[in-house]
Amino acid sequence: MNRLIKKAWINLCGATACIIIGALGVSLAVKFNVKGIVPLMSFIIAGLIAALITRLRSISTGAGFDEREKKISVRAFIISSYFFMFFMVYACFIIFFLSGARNSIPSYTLPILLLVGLFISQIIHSAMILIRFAREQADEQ
Amino acid sequence: MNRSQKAAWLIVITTSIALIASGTAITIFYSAFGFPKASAGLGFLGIAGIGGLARIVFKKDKGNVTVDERDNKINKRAALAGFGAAYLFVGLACMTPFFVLGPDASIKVFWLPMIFMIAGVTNFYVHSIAILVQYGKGGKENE
Repeated sequence: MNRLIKKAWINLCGATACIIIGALGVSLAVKFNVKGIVPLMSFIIAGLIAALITRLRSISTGAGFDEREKKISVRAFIISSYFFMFFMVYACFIIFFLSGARNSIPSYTLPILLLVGLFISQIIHSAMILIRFAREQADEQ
Repeated sequence: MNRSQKAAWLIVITTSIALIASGTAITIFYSAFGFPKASAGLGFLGIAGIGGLARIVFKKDKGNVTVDERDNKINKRAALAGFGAAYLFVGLACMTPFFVLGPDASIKVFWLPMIFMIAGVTNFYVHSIAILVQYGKGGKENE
């Protein structure tokens, strides 16, 4: 199992764990009716710290990848981003047409959409990497 | 200036004009008529759509080699920057109403398509700016 495949599996497990924790966080926020600028700023700061840690890790692990692996990883990211955008667009238009343009939806719908979209995006990203390597192995055989 | 740069300039200029016109119109209408009528100023965002004609307006560059490795690399990096900005916007747009209004509140359904249209515009805008910055850093033209 090469480093990029390991990274794909680690990212998938990590994203799953983060989505579960995020879903629990959203459920608790709904239960306790958390609102205000302080929770928003806490979320933004936590998100920025998580993004910074992820970026620093990817720089340090990415340094060991060859050109081919970097190309596969970037391509997988671009495709997963397209899937994320398509999912979000279709989900919002489905809600728009099903509930009616003049109606309202609960505000927790948006974080749920975001969490599901991010989860799908990570699955696609990791799957693209694993499928690509599986195809190459099949071609070699 | 190659085709990518020209298209990027068109998108940046039209989107900037659209944002400034829309922001100004909404501010003026809001002070005169209040919010529901002030949202008519959002119509000026349509100016950004002119940027979509870039590929039709600017014909393919002449010559056997129109796009090389450097162009592809610049385009990929710009695409990543655009996606990153769109991700950031969508994340903030999804979480901000949840925290500011509270989980018990509700939001109008028409905001959903608006969020994703704005994310799309953000993606193209940042993509174009990233193309211009990268070409600007590396030298004037790709000859």
